[in-house]
Parts: sequence; structure tokens; C-alpha cells
Amino acid sequence: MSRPPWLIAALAAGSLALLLAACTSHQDGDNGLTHHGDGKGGILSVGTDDGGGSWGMAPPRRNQRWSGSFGLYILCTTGGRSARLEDVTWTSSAEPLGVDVYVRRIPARKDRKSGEDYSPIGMLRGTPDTHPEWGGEFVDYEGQLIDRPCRSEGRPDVDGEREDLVIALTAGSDGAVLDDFTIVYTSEGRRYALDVAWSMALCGPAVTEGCSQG
Amino acid sequence: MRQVPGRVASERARVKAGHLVRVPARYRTAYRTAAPGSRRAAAAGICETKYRGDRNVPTTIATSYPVGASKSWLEVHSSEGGKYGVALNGGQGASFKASGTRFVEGSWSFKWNKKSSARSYRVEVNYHKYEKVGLCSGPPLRWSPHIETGGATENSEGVNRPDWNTYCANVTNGTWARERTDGKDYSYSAAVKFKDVIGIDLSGEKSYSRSHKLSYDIAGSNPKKLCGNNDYPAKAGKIVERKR
Repeated sequence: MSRPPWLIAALAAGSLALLLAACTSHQDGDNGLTHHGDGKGGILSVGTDDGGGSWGMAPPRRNQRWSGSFGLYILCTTGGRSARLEDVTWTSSAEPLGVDVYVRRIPARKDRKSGEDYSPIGMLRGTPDTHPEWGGEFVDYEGQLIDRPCRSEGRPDVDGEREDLVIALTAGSDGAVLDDFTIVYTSEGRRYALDVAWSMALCGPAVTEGCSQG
Repeated sequence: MRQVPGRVASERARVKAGHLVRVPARYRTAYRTAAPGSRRAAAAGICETKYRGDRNVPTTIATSYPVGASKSWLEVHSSEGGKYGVALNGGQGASFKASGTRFVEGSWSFKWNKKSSARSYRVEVNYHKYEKVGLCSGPPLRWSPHIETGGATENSEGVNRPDWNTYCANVTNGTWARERTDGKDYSYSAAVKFKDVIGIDLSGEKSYSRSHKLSYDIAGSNPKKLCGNNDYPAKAGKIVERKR
């Protein structure tokens, strides 16, 4: 028994709609932005293996307004592709007075200057502006192209060139925290969002979680 | 020794261990009392795995190495279990050999006190011993992890500070914690302290997660850094704190 043409057309349209729905199931409807965890799909990685944790910086004794930088986020891409950084967003349960995001470009060992420290920043008081001894070039993250391939196996090359993402927070005496953050980037015309599960806190009366309780 | 009638021998070729009671009624007198593991069961071609007792074995699930005034601790909230080694023995005077791992469940909680000394965090894993009896293939003796008992201790004896100094990140005073989702696991080839009983220690693996959180409270006036054993601290399985 043959099916009428209108039924075939309706079935084909239905199948196409289902297929499209499946293909966009990882997108959040925000201009087709595809969210992914670190190392879980997507192109860009910050080298945390989707592991999470927290940094909580102890406040200085005199802390009317103070800053701290966090930066153990080593940028790389997968699949031989490049990623252009567009935006960095976060959720915060105690908003900082200021957030500055940098890409720190580290040269290969032979080009590093003596007297400067090229180790990744875990968490350090101050900002790149106030610490010239932090080696490498700190540039605004927006529009930066990242194309360094992630090493799929083996250990990181500590002597080679690399790019770190550095996030500098400024808080008042109450403290401030980014509970997590997201890097929005484009690759081959598509937009992605890398969600990173590390929180960063400048500890104070308003921020005690992730901070030592004595 | 009593001879097995020829008819039963041919029946035996067609039946499996669990079906033994289905031998013809006239022979049941001879076979219904064949206890599992007995010579008679063996003669009937049965392989049985018999439970031979258990033992609670101290097992390392994390280590930390604070320096100076810093402190560290481990917090386990409703343990998600871990992977622990299995040991096999070929019998007849052979020694035990490690053979793979098995995941076992936990569901206990404990927070170790903050301390400034290097230490390993230990839990107790209940191991079961099994013996294969009858016409069996493979090694007859096996120690296999059964469950995390909830026992929690620590050890600082012989815990030496490692010299990892390649994958380091500079840190100021504050609290650093590795937790949440699935970064690299803590893994140690001699985590299960079984040497006294079976001659070898076995491996252990434990994932960091929201319920398995290792923290360093970084303090003191000297600048510090955290170093990982096989990658940078955010990703490494083990982490040491060092002076810069």
C-alpha cells in the first residue's frame, strides 16, 4: 500500500525537526552557545580536567581595598583548532569591586628574563600591574587567539611557550568571590562557553566559604 | 573409595553443578549429601567458591605535605567508595600476586583534624578471602575488597616529603582545596597495607570530588608554592606544599 505524498512530507518534516532538536540539545538557546566542561567536548581548555576546587585568599591586616590574582588556568585547544576569546562571565555570591581578566603570554625558557618568575600564579596578592616581577606579557583577554594544542598525554612542557588566563579581583574589607566562571569563545564560526568549576575568593566577613576558619 | 556407577558418570556429563539433584532418584542416596566443596562434589565436577573469612586492612586514600606554619586536612562526606586491589594465589606454596582492582562502596563521613605535619590519610577496607574448591580453573585463593568499613586513621611514620618541584604554582596565604567533579585520581600502588598478611601491598585509587576534599591552609611569612606530582596542582593526583 502506497502512502499519500502529504503523509511522506509530514513524516520527513517531523524527522528533520527531531534531528535538529537532537543536534542542538547541548546549546542553551543563547545564540546557539554550546556549553561544555573543561576537557569535556568543545575546543578550549584551561587544563583542569573538569576538576574543581576553591582558592580562598587571606585578607591583609589593613584591607580597605585590596586585590588578588588567580591564574592556574593554562589555555590550550584540541583538534588542531584555534579559539578566539570573546567574554568571561561569572557567578558571584559577593560581587568584587573590580574584575580584570588577562591572558599571560609566557615565552620559551631561552627567552625568559632572569629575576622574573614564570611559574603559574596559583593565588597571589596584588595584580599584574603592581607586580612587575611576574614574568610574561599580560594582555587584555578580549579577542586573544589561542591555538596552542593541548597535550593529550604526557606531562605539560614547563619550558615551552604557554598562555595562562589570569583573573585579578579587587574587594573591599568585606571580601569578594567568584563562585565559578565561564569563558565564551568562538571557533570556526561557532560560539562555545567553557564552564570552569573553580571558585576564587578574597576572604572577609562576607566570604567565609572556602576560607580557613582558624 | 566408592566407585561412581557408569550410568551416573554419563548423567554427570549432561548436568551442571546446580542441577546435580536432578540425577535419577535411584542414585540420590549417594549424591544428595554431597556438601559443596567436598571431595564428593569435586568428583561430580563442581567448582565452588567458598568464603574463608575477612580482614579489615588500613588503606591510604590521600596524602598531604604542608610546610612551616601551614596546615592541611582531608574531608570525606558520604564517601563515594574507591577502587582497591585484588590479590590472587596459585596455591601449593605460591605467593599472592596483585590482579586488577575492584570498586567498592563507602557512604561514611569524616573530617580529619588540621595538622601541620606530613601524613597519609587511611581508611579501613574490609577484604574477603575466597577459596575455589572442586574442579576449578584459575588460582584457588583470592582476597577481594568488599566495602569501606568507615574506619578512619592516619599515619605520619615514614611519610617523607616528596621532591616534586616541576609542576608548581605560586600561592599566598589562604586556603586551597581540591574538590568537585573528576580531576585526576589519587592513586598509590601500595595503598592497601596487606603485606603482613599476604606478603604484598595492593593498589588503591580514590577520586577527588565534592565529597572527597583535600585542603591546604597556607600560612606563615615565607612565600609558598604548591607542586603536583604528575601535573599542575589543579589537576595532579598528589600535591605537596613547598617554600619558594
